[in-house]
Amino acid sequence: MTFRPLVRALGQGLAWRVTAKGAQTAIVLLGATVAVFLMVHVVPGDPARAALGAQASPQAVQELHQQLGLDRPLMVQYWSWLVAALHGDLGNSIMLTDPVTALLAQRIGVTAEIAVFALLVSLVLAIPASLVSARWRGAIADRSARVIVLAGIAIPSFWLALLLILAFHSVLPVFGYAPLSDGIWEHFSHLILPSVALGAGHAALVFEINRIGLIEAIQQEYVRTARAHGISERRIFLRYALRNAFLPTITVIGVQAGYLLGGAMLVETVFAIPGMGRLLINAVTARDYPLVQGGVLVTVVIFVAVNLLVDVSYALIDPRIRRRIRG
Amino acid sequence: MAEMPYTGGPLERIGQLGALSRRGLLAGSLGLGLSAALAGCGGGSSPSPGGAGATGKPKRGGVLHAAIPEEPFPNAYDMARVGSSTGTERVAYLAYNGLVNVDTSGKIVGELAQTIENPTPTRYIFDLRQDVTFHDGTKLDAKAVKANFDRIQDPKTKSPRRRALIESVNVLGPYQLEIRLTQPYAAFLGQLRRSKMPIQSPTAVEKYAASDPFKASVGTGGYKFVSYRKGDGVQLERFDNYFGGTNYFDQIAIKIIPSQPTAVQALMAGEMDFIRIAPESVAAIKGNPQVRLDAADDTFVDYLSFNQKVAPFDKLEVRQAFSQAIDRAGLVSAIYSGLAEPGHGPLASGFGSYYEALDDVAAQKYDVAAAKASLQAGGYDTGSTIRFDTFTDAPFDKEADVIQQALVAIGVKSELRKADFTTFATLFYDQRNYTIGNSQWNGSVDPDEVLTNLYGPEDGTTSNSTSAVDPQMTKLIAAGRTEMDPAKRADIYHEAGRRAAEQAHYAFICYPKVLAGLSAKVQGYKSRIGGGWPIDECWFA
Repeated sequence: MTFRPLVRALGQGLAWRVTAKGAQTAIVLLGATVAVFLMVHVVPGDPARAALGAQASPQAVQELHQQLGLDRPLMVQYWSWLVAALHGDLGNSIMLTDPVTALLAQRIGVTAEIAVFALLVSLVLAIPASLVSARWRGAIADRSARVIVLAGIAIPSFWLALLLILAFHSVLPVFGYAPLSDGIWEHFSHLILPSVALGAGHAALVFEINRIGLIEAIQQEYVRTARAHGISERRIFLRYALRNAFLPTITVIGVQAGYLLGGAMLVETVFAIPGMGRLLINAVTARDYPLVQGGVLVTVVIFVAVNLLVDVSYALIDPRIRRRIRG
Repeated sequence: MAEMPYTGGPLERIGQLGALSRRGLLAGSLGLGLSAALAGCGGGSSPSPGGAGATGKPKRGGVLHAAIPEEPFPNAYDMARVGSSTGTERVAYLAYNGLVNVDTSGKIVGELAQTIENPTPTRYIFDLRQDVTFHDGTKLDAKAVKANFDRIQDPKTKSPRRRALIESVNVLGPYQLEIRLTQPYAAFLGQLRRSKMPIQSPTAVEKYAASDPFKASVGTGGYKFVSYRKGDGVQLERFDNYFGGTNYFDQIAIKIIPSQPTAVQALMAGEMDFIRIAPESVAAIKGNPQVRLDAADDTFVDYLSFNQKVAPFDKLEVRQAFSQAIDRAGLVSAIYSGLAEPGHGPLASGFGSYYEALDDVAAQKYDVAAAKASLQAGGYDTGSTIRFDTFTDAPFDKEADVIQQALVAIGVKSELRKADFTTFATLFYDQRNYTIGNSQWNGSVDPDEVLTNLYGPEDGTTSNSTSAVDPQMTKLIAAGRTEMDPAKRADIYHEAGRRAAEQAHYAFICYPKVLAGLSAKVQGYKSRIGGGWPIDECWFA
């Protein structure tokens, strides 16, 4: 999605807003890389040991440690990394030896696909359920839905993943990733269980927020007015109440983008999916510093970009915000 | 994650290498052997509950699906540059051959070498098979093998597989090779086995090693590498010119599945044909008629290490007390579902004639009363809390839980620190920044490798985590390395094992079996000590 038409349409106000967000993003990125750099270096664990294995001699580990330049002062290491990163070079993975950018490029599509499917799963489950729940508040359907939602919030995605594997191992593939070239069904069947495992918790939150939003919306005066004009309940809910209730829901979806990326790490490990999440988990356990830093950088960029999109989408959904931005 | 003590798959199998008789001609084709030297050696597969093993006539066809728990190590599978990664070695085992290998009875047998002569203790002459072709079509000859050794020995390669004891490697004829050692080394041949010294095509190495290690991974084995999707898996296909003729599958597809429950479910669902089984998964696959469990004896040893630079573990009585507090049989039952033997010394029963039970050694025997007395004799302060390091891979974290509770029973309080393996290994092996910690030794083919690593000098070349060097052990290890007579060698290792048990530098806990889960249609699987992944000789029923 390009922002230019939007900026033109919405005028300078939005341009400033985007610029300010961009500056904030740069600061966040810098801060994140410093924090991650310090964290991965401060915790014990030597990538040279991870690369050489349990039974390598300490001498061999020390030699590789020096070869990797890990005996240099931390500031020097960070500065070298930062300068290279500003030139688009995130270095090479210690464990996989390939350039970090290439590794992330290979994996990000897989993770994005799972995250998008999980998001779709969550919306498909949560929005209709929240509509039913709000419409018949206090009824059995509402109460049942809320119990399921509580369970959805409480059950961690990795545990749900294991339950799904146990339940569906004879019906659906329980591990791996099949590219589209393997066939459409093959491709999508491998995504069903991971997407459900990841999307279920998200669905629960979306349901809860949207339900509350809807309940508040249908108590507003404009709804009463619409009813007085004889507009059907269906139209009131779908056209007026849902649109107004959706603003906080979008905020949650945006904030939860981080959750989806984090959850993808666990789900990818359980389902043996070669996505960015598993790549980063392996990188962390192996103290693959360049890969951890590159991965975190990309994750932060995605997170910030999604939140920027959420900000912009407010303007698209709510004319009042659009007018305010135009100033 | 690095392949580490028992984190994934059948781990490095420790084989039994017997010594060669001086001037003995070790003849035979693939049955060549050191059988005389290996008399009494154990190892190999124990009968598995489902009866894994060769049944029926082998037939070709099919794709074997197998799982490994972690990414192959860099620079996979250019093995000259790969460290001590048993996971990578297992996959490489399918594509390569060594001058020798370990057979299913634990004997070192010729593989690329048809005969081996050992005219003096420091000189080996290998007559190579003449019908061997690399996957790239080039012929295997003495020059090709020498090129492999030259590369590994060249300091510029920085190969973790460099052999310090090799003085020279010389081509004596088109298919005859001589290796000279700087000093006699009874364990030498075992270090040349397939999983430790796989022979690569020098042509492929020269062409690709610098740019693409995977393309340089060209061997002579039954299967050749086709593709490696990092993070996902490795594909191999049958090499039709394989001299061994025991490669029956059309393909072997290996997936990286880090989660054991997922791998187990994939096996149960028929999506996998071969996976490693962690002890806690044994119950899950029992009773499934589509799945078999193979539990093979091996030479692994689990131990509790005491850092003897930290008081009061410099005192024998304190170490003894800790060791005596551990109910080994109970731990084996609780943690390993009975699929391990209680351990009392550094050399597991898989070492055959070199093994001695040592269950009479008081320092390694479960006895709470004796432990309390030893603790008192050592002046241990029961008011203190000691640090206990372990790592979060099964079953070591649970093993540590059991040991911690055992120590409570004798009045010892400990703070258990569970870390990921890399953190643990850095603290435990490299920095020796720990007080007590549990781990496992595996990956050796000879008692010398176990003892040298657990009791070797503190010069950075060994994995002696105790920070203690026992001169008596050093003497015995040196004697065992150079003694070529197996009977005398066995005596030396019995003495060394007893000394190790009595001095309790480590509390030896158990000797775990190697567990594999196979689909019922897989035939011909016979686990073998000494490393590797012998699924290359299996077939489908």
